[in-house]
Amino acid sequence: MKSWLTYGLMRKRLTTGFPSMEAEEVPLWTTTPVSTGTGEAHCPANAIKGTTVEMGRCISCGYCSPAFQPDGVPGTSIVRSTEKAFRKSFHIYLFDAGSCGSCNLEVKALGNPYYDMSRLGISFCATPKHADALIVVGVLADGMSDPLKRAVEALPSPKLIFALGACAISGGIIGKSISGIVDADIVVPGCPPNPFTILDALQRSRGVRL
Amino acid sequence: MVGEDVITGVLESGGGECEITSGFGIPSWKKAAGSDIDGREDFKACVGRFDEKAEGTDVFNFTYGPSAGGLNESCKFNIYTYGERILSLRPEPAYKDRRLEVSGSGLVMAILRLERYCGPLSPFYSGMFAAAVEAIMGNGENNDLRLARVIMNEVGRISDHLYVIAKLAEGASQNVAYNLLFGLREKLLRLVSRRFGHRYFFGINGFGGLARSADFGGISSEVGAIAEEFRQLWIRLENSGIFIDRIQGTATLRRPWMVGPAARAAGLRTDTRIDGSCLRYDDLDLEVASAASADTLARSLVRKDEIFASARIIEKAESMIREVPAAVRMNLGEISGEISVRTETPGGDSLMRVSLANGVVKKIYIRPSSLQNLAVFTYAIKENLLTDFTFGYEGLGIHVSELGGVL
Ligand code: SF4
Ligand code: SF4
Repeated sequence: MKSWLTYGLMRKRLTTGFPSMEAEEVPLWTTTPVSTGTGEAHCPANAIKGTTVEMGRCISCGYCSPAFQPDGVPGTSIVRSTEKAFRKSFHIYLFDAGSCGSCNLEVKALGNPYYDMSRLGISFCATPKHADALIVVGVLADGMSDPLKRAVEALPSPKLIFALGACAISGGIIGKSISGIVDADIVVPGCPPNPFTILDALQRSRGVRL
Repeated sequence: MVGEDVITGVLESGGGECEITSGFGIPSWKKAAGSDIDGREDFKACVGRFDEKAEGTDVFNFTYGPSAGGLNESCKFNIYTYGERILSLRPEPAYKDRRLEVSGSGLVMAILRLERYCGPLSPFYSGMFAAAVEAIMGNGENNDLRLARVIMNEVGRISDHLYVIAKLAEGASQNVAYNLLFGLREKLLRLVSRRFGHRYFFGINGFGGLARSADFGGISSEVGAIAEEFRQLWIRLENSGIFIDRIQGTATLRRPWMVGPAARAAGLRTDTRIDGSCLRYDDLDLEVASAASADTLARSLVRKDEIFASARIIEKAESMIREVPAAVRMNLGEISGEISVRTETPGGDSLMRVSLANGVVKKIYIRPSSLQNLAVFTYAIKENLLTDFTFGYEGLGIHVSELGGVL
């Protein structure tokens, strides 16, 4: 039987060319719904304001179809501040404040061979003390307020805070956002945001031109 | 296990504690001394209570979590050790309890919240709730809708089992295997996104039909190809001494109250798909996997066999499915009634009790499989080494979000 290494090397390349190349297979309903000018839309998350969608509230449910259709563009994040010191290496820590579990898995998916964030110098770390950025997912559960405050304090400077997913940004349809504890530098919409959108946000947050 | 009442959780009420019991039939609530559970309106979900302390010379107590790099979801563990040996362990999953509010919601909002109760298991919970509402409404079972839900659940099961086995490979430093397994899961999520419009099946389950159109044509050949790739990986994994050594004899437990792969790995023939109240599988050639050694290796063997069994079920269901009806979004009616449904999630039997009044959720109670699996972990990890923690925990496929309350 072939060794693991040989077996792995014999597989065809899976890794995306994104962000230098276009993203393949973007999950449509995590991108921005755009008005088609047909029919009436009922949004359970109150995300629709006239003909536009407030992405921080959008729960990617697709209930507004056919009046709205997703645009398929992964770059939906809002980057309020950037930190160029992280351009060569970027250590991120995933903080679950009260998620359903899916946002966590989409962040972790960045490590799989399809996205392979290590090729861009991005890696997970085991404690906020060693992290450059805190990626917060989920609503703010009462029991996670203090751990979140402590995680933010433990981050060395310079640092970046991400609010990832509708729950962390606005509370979505589940609960409170994290804004009472910390102001996010980058918001990554979606329920959950897809890995291309997350990768795009990570790159833009450290000033990498896409 | 059939007919036997077992304790499936502890519920706090007015300073007292109530044991929640569940037999294989209708769930029941048993009062513990001094508590009043029958009068409760909110059905706050039960939280497992395990507080055995260990004391003695050289016993060392420390905590892990609630947020830690090695944990996918937040959960705190109070661990008592003697040297490298774990004497006792107390999990505290309530940190991230979101107290998900479903009572008082209309049915559409309720199903959207329930699919976010545990995102990775969303088709199971939204499907359970939809089936409960349909049963209360007196809708007869639509065969195509049943088959559609079976296919979605079985795809969800394969995804969850791939994740569990990948995490075990990661724990054993089998990095090529871990990456390839995680890659396979990604391939499956992309298939789900293409065919169902969302990687985690959000927004798809509705009442009386699917809330969005889905593409079932040829799904079994795509899933079959993923199962075949997994077979090649598994052959290599089971020949890896490093992998097998870490999971063999780890976190062994046999108890009559166990559910899901943990129970089947201990030789118990229990699977809600045989006689559950939510989805019929009787014409789908369900094969119940089983193993004997009741350890993490046996649980992995059961999961491995279930990946292939799910692929076969999907193939059968696809051959039978015709036209899946669209969901009714409006005029769901002023329906009232109460019903219990249960389904076999990847972790095992989960139960949902739904009470509706005038088209609004009056109360809901969920007893998830993770509650039992957390209890399995707590008892099974005793006398194992600290380095076995990952294998015992990850091998049970526990979802912490499932342990939170539904109000
Ligand atoms: S996808 Fe859902 S939440 Fe987002 S705008 Fe459409 S209806 Fe609203
Ligand atoms: S934003 Fe959506 S996917 Fe993320 S934790 Fe909240 S409910 Fe789950």
